[in-house]
Amino acid sequence: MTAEVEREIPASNSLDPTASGTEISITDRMVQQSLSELLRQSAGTRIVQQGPAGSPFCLRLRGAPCDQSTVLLGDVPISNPDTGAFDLSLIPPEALDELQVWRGGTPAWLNQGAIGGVLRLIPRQYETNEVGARVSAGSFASWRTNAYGAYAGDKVRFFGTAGAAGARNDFPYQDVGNTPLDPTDDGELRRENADFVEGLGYASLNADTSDKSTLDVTFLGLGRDRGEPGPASSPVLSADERTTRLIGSMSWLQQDDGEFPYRLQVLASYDYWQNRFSDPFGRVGTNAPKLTDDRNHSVFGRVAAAVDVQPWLELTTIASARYYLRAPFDELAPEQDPDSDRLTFSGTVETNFHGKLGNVLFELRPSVLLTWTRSMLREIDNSGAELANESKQFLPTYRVGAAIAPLSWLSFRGSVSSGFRLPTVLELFGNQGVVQSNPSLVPERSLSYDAAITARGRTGILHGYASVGFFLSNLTDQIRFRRTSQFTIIFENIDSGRARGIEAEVRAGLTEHFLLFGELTWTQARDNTTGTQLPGQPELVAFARPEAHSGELSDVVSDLLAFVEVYYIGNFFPNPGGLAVIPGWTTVSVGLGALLFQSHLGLGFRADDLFDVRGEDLLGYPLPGRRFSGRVSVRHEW
Amino acid sequence: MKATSILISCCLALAIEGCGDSGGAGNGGAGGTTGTGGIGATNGTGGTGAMGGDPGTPALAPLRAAPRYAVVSSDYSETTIAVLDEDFGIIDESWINSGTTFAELVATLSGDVVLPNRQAGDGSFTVIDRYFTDVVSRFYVPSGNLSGQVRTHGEVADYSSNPHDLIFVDETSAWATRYEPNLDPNAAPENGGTDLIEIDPTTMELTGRRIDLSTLNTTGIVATGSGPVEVPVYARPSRGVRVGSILVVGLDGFSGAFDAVGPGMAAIVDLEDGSVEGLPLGEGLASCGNATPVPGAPTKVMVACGGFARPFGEEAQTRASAGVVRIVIDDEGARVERTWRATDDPDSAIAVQALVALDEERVAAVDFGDFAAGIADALYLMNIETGEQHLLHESPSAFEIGFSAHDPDTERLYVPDAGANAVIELTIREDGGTEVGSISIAPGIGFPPRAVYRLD
Repeated sequence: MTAEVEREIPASNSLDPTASGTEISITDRMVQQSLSELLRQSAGTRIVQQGPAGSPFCLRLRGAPCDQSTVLLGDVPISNPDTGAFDLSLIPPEALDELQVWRGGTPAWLNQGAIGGVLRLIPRQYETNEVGARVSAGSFASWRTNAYGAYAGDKVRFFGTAGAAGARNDFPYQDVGNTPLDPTDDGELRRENADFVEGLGYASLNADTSDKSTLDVTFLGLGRDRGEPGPASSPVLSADERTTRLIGSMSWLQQDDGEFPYRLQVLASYDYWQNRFSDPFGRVGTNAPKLTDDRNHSVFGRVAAAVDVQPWLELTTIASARYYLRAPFDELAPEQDPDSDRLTFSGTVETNFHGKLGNVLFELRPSVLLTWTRSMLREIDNSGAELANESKQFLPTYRVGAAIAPLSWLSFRGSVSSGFRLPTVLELFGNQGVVQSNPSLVPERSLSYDAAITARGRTGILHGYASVGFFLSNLTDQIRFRRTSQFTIIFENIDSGRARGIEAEVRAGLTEHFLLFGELTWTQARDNTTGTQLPGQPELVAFARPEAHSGELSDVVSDLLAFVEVYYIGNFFPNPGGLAVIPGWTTVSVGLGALLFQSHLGLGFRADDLFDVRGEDLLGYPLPGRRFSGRVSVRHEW
Repeated sequence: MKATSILISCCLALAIEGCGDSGGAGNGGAGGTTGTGGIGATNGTGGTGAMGGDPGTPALAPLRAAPRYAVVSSDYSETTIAVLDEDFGIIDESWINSGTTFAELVATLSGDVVLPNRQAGDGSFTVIDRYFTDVVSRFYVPSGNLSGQVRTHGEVADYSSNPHDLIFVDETSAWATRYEPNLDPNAAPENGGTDLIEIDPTTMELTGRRIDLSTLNTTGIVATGSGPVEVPVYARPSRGVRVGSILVVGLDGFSGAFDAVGPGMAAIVDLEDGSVEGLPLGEGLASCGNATPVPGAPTKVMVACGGFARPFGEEAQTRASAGVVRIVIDDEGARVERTWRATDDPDSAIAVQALVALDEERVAAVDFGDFAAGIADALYLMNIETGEQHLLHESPSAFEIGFSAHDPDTERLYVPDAGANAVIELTIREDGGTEVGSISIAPGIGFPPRAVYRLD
């Protein structure tokens, strides 16, 4: 459910015209597209991948590291302040309709105060009766398949899909033998132990419970078994990871468009994450064998209400609670740690003043978010006694967003917002080993500003939008680790930083046959202490995808598709010190697709990284070069 | 939570983005220049063949003079090495650093770099890149040409050997200490670990010879809620000294997770017959990896036992297991000649870290501070015969003072103080020392100095 606003003010999103958001549709499934490829369409993004499909990847927003952003499935947070960057590879695109990328201060409805922003994954729903299946296969023995069915009745709608995927991922990479000054031992090797296989399931049930209310029940499950290849500079051949993720949610929504239009949402969800990691020879981290079976449980509840108390004033309030329990287990450890947990309450109040002054539409949205959290880490100390470490934080943040539209196709928007990132329990309390405790850590905080001009509309054969804006974010109390000996570190609030930049985005169509998706982002994200660009963040990122559709040509040919994707990443530092430089790269991909027989049969083909430039997002983790994939899809609608 | 499970979470959830991006020592300064040396962050690594008749492959900028000292500065993610002359004047503030070449799977140098206890003595300059890089590099001086780079284990080994030292024997033989055990019972010998592996310095290739030290593995105790648990402790050979045909190698003796320690020991390796013997250094002593040469006493080796405590830094446990041991090698073999224990005087400083020997009796060593208690590092001049200690220098905070270099002719001691971001110059007297100056190394890069080496 989203808090729809009137769309008179031209914007790049449909939820909040004062916010910096991009919506990326996943409706066209003729040619295979991964989430990492789709997310490139949004300005302000930087995808950080450990490898090809099946490898962990995460999303940086406006220069902020991945762990400074929140990931939502619908309105349910699925990232966690205690587990660092969220691995987006665990989300199957088959379960999604849309990606929403919110940069900086996010709409009040999302009830989040993350520094970087929010990635919102919109679960898939169907409005038709349909069954279908897709099979994809490609380079490095990659494959993916799913079957689905959708039913849309008068009062009940259902969509379900199940599938599987895998890859050997034994792609070639250039190895320098860890001797970069000596080219005599350079050569091409193939990645090992990067294979994966996974199964997925997703179901969504939407039922009318009255004329004004609906009930949504969704379930997402994924199980994956993957090798952990480690950095190619020091490969790991013997470690693997098995992950199970189950997310179920139930949401009831009542809305009325009467004299005082309102929306009321009650939502509850349960999220289970099991991670089994086998490292019999201690190749990952310290040189100690590991056989873990960590289980995580998260229960989330939320009540949200929005009411138009006046034609020019909407009030929105949201309250949520989340309980997270972590149950670690290492079969090879001499002692098992007890469970640890975190409890978080959040509440948002927003007033939305909106209307028209003369011919100028306006919207002003001040909001306050209050967050209280308590973490409790329980562990066994070195004498064998149980320790309980508690930390409490109260975190008020705010946002003021405003937008005006002097013309029907032109708007100006801007916002000021504050944000935070909680210190993890590891950063706070250490681990009786490598990481020393520092319970005095305070959250990282940010104060951000952004503004943009957006033109959106349709004139003649041209339609779409273009948006150009700037952003500035000042960060304080940044948490950095400081090494205290060869084998120990401590986290401290010792840094401040600043991220600023310019982002431009275009979605344009020339008739319905020619489309253009593009973005260009310049980001200067500096560590104020060192003056160097933050590691992993290039100054320039650009993406362009011109796309052509034939439209229906005959009873046989329903549509033909061709596209080119160009993706550019500038040079960047892999480390905070700013000495080593990973050279930037440009990849070019092409795709062809055909929908045949009234769209009952789809054929797709894509070639990625045509010029085999490869590259690496993380030092030591090569990315695959030139690769090909094809897809066959069938569907029947009635 | 245990270190292992957290590290796994970190690594698997994009360590650099989740943990690593929040990382960095935060001690860097402004700038981020790549120094004056090197080939300027280009993809090429120099041509082949000699330059100007010098041996080796062009790699680094030629030096105007032969260096006498080197300073290794690091933020623990990257490293820069400065070279200095006899008077501690800077020849090149960043002769080689992590950005000398473009990073492709690895940077030119990682953040875990040391120099050998002693250089070859032939004017060459050797650098050891340790955990997860596992490479020894050797350069000709002053040409800057590369003699060679060699990985200290086989290719795609599923293993990091973590070389800690390279002990030169003669023109064609040097032995690298491989700190990490390889827990895979089926690992090939070249990937064995817990051993010494031979490198030919003239070719910078592994010769295939290996001296296994796993016979010196022991066991240790981890306390748990259900009682003590015995765990394997690996010898972990670290720094070593050659005395004739004998190698004396300090052993750290930690468990895989560094949560237990074994008895303090040094490995005595006879290169003539390949025999290995564990020399116990004294009841209760632990973590004795730092074996260092003794100026003016070529048959003697000083070994620092850093001690061990759980939780880390707990004073009583650390004191009980810390000390300094002098070993002599003579016709009767290797034996302990003198031991100073931190327990000898309960009021003494536990000055056993980053130890360098000044002569047979005197050492300069650091008593590490305590972050939580706000106690700074303190460098002491200590006489191990009398136990007498004199404070030489205090850093602004804890874990900041690294390995110093001593000039026995001038009695100058060059102390890397990361907290002050400078190398402190001291003149040593019998009853202490006087600070006579300090020098900031590569301020444009801003990495704090971690170790100073006097080059042979």
